[in-house]
Amino acid sequence: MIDITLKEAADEFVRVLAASPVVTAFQEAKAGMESDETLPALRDQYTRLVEQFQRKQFDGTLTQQDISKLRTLNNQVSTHPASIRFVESRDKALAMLSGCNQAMGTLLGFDFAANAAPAAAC
Amino acid sequence: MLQTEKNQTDSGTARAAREAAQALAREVADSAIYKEFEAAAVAFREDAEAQKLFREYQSAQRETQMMRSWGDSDKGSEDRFQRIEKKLIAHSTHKRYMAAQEGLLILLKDLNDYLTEKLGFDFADLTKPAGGCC
Repeated sequence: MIDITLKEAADEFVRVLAASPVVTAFQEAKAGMESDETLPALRDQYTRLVEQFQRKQFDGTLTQQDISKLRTLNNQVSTHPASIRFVESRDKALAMLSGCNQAMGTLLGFDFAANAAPAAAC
Repeated sequence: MLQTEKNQTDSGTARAAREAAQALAREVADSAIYKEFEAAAVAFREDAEAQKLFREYQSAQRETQMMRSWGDSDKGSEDRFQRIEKKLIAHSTHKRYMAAQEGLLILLKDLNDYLTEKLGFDFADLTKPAGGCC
């Protein structure tokens, strides 16, 4: 639970970031990607196909057709205009946001993001 | 907007963002949880007995892992490792340090959850150093 002074400093940080065009462009691209009519379904389909792919690879039943299907879907997801907008805006925002994380780390003596991020799913 | 004007605005925003990030980090560093973490870390570093136990633990851990990887694990070394681990876990200075570390991690995660909710994206997940999985 964070206290009021920490909340105020966090609010100010958010306010400054929200005033940055690169951050707002990223927020818009992320929202656009999530609300797109076709992309979420494509991504779900891709995730399911990757799971099937791994299972078949393990079973030794993987075919050339499975590989081609996965490649096609991967291509469809990565070349989707909403995906391209998301990746481009994220890369631009990342430079500024990483600078902020670095500034925090210098003061704290450890990497804020590395310690605060949710555990990675392997 | 001219490109040079735009670049100046961008670098001005980036500077303001870094300053706001530093102010946020200062608030974290001023918190009782962070101060307890620092004090506990110093106490652990300066406690000769705890340090000796910790070195013994690390050495026993390395030895046990090596033996396990060779498929050569024996009950004696496993028991020794568990005995040292138990002693270290029960050591008051180490216990304090672990509890302080845990408290700080909870604070950092809570802060990141708050930022995530306000920003609409996970700040820490996006900016954490890239690393291999498991």
